[in-house]
Amino acid sequence: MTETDLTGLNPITHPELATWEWPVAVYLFLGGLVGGLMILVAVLRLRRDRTFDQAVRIADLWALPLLAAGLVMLFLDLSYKLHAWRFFVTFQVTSAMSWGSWILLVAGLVLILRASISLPSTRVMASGRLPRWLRRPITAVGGWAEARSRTLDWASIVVGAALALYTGILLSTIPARPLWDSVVLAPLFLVSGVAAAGAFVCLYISAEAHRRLIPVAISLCALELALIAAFFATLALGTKATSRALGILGGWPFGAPFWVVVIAGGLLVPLSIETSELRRRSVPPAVSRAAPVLKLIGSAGLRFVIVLAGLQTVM
Amino acid sequence: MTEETVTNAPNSAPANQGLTRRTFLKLMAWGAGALAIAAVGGKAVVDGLGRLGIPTPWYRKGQITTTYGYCDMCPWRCGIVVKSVDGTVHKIDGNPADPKSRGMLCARGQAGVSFLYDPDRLKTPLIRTGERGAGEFREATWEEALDNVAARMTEIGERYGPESVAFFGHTSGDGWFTEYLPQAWGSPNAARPSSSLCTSPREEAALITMGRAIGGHEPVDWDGIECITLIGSHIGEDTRNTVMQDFAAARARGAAVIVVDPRFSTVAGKADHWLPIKPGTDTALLLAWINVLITEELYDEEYVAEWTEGFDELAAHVADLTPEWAAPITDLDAEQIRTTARAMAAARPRSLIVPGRHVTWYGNDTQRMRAVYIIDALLGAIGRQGGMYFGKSPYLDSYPHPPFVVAGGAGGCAAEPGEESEDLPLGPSGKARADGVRTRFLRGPTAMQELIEPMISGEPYPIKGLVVYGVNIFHSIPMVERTKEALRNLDLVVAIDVLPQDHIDWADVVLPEATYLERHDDLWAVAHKTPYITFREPAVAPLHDTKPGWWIARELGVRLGLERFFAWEDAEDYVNTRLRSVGLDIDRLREQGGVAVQPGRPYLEDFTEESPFGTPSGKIQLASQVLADAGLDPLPVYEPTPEPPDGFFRLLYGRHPVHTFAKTQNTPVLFNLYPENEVWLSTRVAARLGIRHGVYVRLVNTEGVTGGEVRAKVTERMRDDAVYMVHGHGHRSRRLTNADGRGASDAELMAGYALDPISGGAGMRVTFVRVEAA
Amino acid sequence: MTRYAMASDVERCLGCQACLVACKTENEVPDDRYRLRMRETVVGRFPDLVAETRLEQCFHCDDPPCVPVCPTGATYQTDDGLVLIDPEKCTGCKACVTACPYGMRYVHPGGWIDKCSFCDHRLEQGLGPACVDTCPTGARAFGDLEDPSSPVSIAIAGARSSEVLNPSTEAEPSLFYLNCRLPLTDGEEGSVLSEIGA
Ligand SMILES: Nc1nc2c(c(=O)[nH]1)N[C@H]1C(S)=C(S)[C@@H](COP(=O)(O)OP(=O)(O)OC[C@H]3O[C@@H](n4cnc5c(=O)[nH]c(N)nc54)[C@H](O)[C@@H]3O)O[C@H]1N2
Ligand SMILES: Nc1nc2c(c(=O)[nH]1)N[C@H]1C(S)=C(S)[C@@H](COP(=O)(O)OP(=O)(O)OC[C@H]3O[C@@H](n4cnc5c(=O)[nH]c(N)nc54)[C@H](O)[C@@H]3O)O[C@H]1N2
Ligand code: SF4
Ligand code: SF4
Ligand code: SF4
Ligand code: SF4
Ligand code: SF4
Ligand SMILES: [Mo]
Repeated sequence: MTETDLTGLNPITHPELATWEWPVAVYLFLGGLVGGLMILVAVLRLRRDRTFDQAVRIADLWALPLLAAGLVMLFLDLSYKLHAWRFFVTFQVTSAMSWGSWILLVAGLVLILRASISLPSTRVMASGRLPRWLRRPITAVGGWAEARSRTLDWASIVVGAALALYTGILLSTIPARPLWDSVVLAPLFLVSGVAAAGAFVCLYISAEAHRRLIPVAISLCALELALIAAFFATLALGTKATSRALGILGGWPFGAPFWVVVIAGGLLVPLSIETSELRRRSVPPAVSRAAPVLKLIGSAGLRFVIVLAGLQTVM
Repeated sequence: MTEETVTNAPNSAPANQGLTRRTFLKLMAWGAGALAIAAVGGKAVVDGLGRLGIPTPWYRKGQITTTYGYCDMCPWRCGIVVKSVDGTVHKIDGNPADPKSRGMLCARGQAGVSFLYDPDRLKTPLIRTGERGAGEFREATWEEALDNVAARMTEIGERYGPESVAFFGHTSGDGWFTEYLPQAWGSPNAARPSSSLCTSPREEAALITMGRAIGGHEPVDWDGIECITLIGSHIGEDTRNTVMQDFAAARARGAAVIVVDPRFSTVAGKADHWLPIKPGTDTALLLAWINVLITEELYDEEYVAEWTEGFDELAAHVADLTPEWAAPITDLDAEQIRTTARAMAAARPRSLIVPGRHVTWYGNDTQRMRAVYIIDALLGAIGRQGGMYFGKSPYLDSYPHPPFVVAGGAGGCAAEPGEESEDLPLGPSGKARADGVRTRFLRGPTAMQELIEPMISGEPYPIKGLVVYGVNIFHSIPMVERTKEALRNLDLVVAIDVLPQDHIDWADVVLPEATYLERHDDLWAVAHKTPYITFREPAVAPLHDTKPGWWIARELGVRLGLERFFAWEDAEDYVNTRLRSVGLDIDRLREQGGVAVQPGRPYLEDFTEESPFGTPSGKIQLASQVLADAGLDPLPVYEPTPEPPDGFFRLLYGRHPVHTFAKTQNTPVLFNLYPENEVWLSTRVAARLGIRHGVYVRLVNTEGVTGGEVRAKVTERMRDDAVYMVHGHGHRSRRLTNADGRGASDAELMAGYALDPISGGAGMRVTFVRVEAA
Repeated sequence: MTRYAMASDVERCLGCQACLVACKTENEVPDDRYRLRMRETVVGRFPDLVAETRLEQCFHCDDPPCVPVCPTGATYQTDDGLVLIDPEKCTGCKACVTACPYGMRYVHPGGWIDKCSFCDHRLEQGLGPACVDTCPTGARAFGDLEDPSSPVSIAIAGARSSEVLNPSTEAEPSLFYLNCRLPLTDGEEGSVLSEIGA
């Protein structure tokens, strides 16, 4: 029999006093998604395949607001919002968060340039409803950027990868939370981000483009599953704390969302749908469209589970 | 403009070059200036923005002033150094020169700042407008409030005699209201709760047995002690600063610790021997210990021969009171009783059963305390190093006022030998104390709880007025309903307090006092191994419309026609006059660190001329002639206390480390630490009753009274025949915004008490409660 | 070089909580927040019980995991081994809170992060930490670990045992628990936990 009395509130007994909350999970998801979009779209453009023009444009136009939404999430989680600017008057080489804030800035810049390429062809711009003073700089910048499109594509790949990797590195450089203590977390979030980006563009593009993306989607799913397996393996074979931490993915409240939403819903089900499609079996359009939605939910769920469950694990 | 000059410069005619260069240089200067301004300004902006919303810590706000004083967060009164900046108190530290604090303070002492700035404090005099208890008041000026009190006191005095006004007082200004004013006014009915609700049995037992008082600062010679025995005395929960310091140091030095407590108290956790005794049976244990010490010849023969009398009677008395006899009574193991007696004896004379403090438990408490001192004498510990030293009061004259109308005030835990005279002091109309001393109990200072009945019955004579200074009468005196009935009967109830405590609603006039950090006060002169004197000065001016106690006493005295006793101008004048008797004044005392220490006379060897023992024979009376003469047992006898009826548990209570009695529960920082009390139930009892840890339950006493909802603490630390709670919670005062309605009140559950026939102490562990799911 | 450290003698501590209140007052710690907390553990069955009281605060780790994660340098380590926070630089991103393996940091209601500072401002004045200076039992000792004559070194040298909480974090805490009888853990399986506070 052990009786423990704790006097004095503290983060261990009252986690709400101190730790990260859901906005961080959303932020990490959006960071991965935007990073994925940047990579995906750049790769597609570099291949110069017109089938994906629509996909490229969707990605170019959505990535920036999604990144902004991510920043809003980060901002929401800051407990000292007045000091948000402090991120940008310093660079702390050991801090993933510091790297991340600068990467976000660069990513934002790249995305503005990318968006300026795709913006002129949008309906709003074409309709001429935008005032001249707005339209002129956009076209000017767009022109400048289009001329350096290849460089921009490569920059997108590098910065996008950095962004998506960073979302994992942020967690895995915090050894105090053993669930995050795995080198696999960064590549996992990267792959999951690219997969989510694929799913995201699939929501908008033509059936033909969608079909041509399926093999890529399947390999990403498979790769992600492999990385999750590797994540488990690193933790199981790591320290006592990391193997104990894995237990949290077995029970309530994190086990069910992880296995149902992330693994089954987000990976296995879409994988089987897409495999069927690949084998030219007839798949009802509703089911076909469900796959990317499920993947996006699963990808977000992965961040939620890893972030929130990880906060509950202690060394 | 300038931009053009610069861009054009290379193409300019030579004639223009001078001008251009000048412009260029000017530009450079401007640019450098602008850059510098930008850099400095930018840094200023960054710094300024960075500081936005971050408060400056108090210790960087300005000059820190320090003021000496003594703590009043509990009656122990440690010396303090108060740190303030710009008229705001920020931190209180112990005064290193003070023999009680030695630079350290307990949690409550540290919380003085929070007590001072409690927003719920009484802020202005109040005069009652509604029923007693309804809490309807109007604000009044001091002038009006004091005139009102004086007029009504005078009326009672004229009609019934001054004896019919009772004075209850505690906290550190209590001298003004339990001694100075009542004696000047002419009432022998002045009482402190620290006597009959606390220490009376141990003081009377000490006076009867040793002819010496224990006094407010228990004379335990912790410095060299090697075996510490505690009966109750829950050090660590009872957080008297010095006691914790001394106990911890002694234990770290290797002293053995024996703890007798039905509960696994904090200090039981530090014990070498814990005896989880059945409550109420300590006297049996003590007698068995005496039996072992005598039959195994472990006692100090020489000491007994030289310094005690009545040994043979004692030996005969305990001959059959063996550990085997005591074991079933106390629910202890006979072998453990033997082992502990031997451990005590092995360390003698550096071995002491520490005189407890709150000892009013079962009504037979003076006899239990006598048994304690008998053992201390058998161990040869009294007057010996590492045992019990002889405390000495510092030299210090009282203020040279004319002889008081009544000789002898409330007395208290620091009662001096000799204060207990044969004749009771009489009031101006020839009446002695109304508390039943000499009829219902033998002796001792005025018993506060015994003054309640005369307010109701008018016997032996009516008490019609009550001045309550710093006593929490609904929490400190058992039988709260009886107290309320008494208050309904009175013509005048005055409450002098700092907080809207539960009883404030029942006062006719409420006088808000300034706290100990805002006022001067009388000196604090402590009977001690090293007798000492310390003083109090305000660290800040009184907050709100509050006044110091001395001022209130004086203003009342003057209005009552007692000017002759109040020749002093103010407290400083009064204190300086007293200090001059020892060649000091406030300034000099302040300069020398706030404390004046005098030499003591702690050990037997310091008494060569006369005996340190004030008994008629000058010896420790193992068998007491005084008691025999009064027809009482000359030797301690174990009397069983009534057992709880089926389904009931004995209600025990004690202290919480961060709270003082019922007065600090509202203090924000302490409220935060321990907002409400819990009722401790043994795991087995809880399982039987189906009560889970942490749920709210209700306690119901044998009269059906319930003390409010309280959380269950289910624990292995309790015996099965009792429940335990911390005293002082369960406030019922809307204006105590933190404390109101939090936890349960032990006092409310005490429907009765057991009067000690010797000391007049109110035994408060005779309450039985049921535990109901809430 | 100085390495400030503290020792907390669980055998000597009487659980009086003077340290908690001294800390709150000295450092103006807001209501419902603490830089220092108390953990009382009782193990066994009546009447065979063992009790221990432990005070927990930032350990000023020698290799503090909370420092490198800070994106602004608000959390930093001094040459004397103090781990401090400059609220003026703090964004409230809580990376450090997440990175502390001991749960010793909290969000100040003002937004910035706060925790035990070993009372660095008192050290500047030549005083000890407020919690140490007031501790009535002398259960707390403070000083320079490198100096064998400092109170902390003397306390450690005189102790039966000296341990740090959960050394597997490799953070190397500078707070040493002396004379523990119970295993130094964050509570046991199946234990009854009471959280006390308003
Ligand atoms: N924090 C704090 N400290 C205080 C005070 C305060 O208000 N707050 N008040 C001060 C004052 S004025 C006083 S008088 C003292 C009071 O403190 P003490 O003198 O220590 O009071 P006791 O009643 O001896 O101790 C209470 C203990 O007695 C145990 N007990 C109950 N019944 C019995 C019994 O029948 N036999 C035995 N052997 N033990 C029993 C209880 O379990 C509890 O552990 O505390 C002083 N110190
Ligand atoms: N049920 C029960 N009854 C008990 C005890 C118990 O444990 N249980 N303990 C007994 C013991 S040991 C003792 S010593 C007594 C203590 O009895 P009390 O001294 O009555 O106890 P407190 O609750 O501290 O009440 C102090 C009162 O003084 C007020 N006060 C505080 N500071 C000041 C000030 O500066 N000036 C003025 N004028 N007032 C002030 C407080 O607000 C409060 O109303 O209680 C005894 N009664
Ligand atoms: S024991 Fe604590 S509350 Fe009592 S006087 Fe000393 S410091 Fe103040
Ligand atoms: S002040 Fe000292 S004795 Fe009291 S709880 Fe803190 S460490 Fe323990
Ligand atoms: S205890 Fe936590 S906050 Fe303190 S130095 Fe170590 S890691 Fe940092
Ligand atoms: S919360 Fe403040 S101190 Fe902590 S890591 Fe973020 S910026 Fe640094
Ligand atoms: S060292 Fe200072 S800040 Fe740290 S716990 Fe002690 S009093 Fe609080
Ligand atoms: Mo008392």
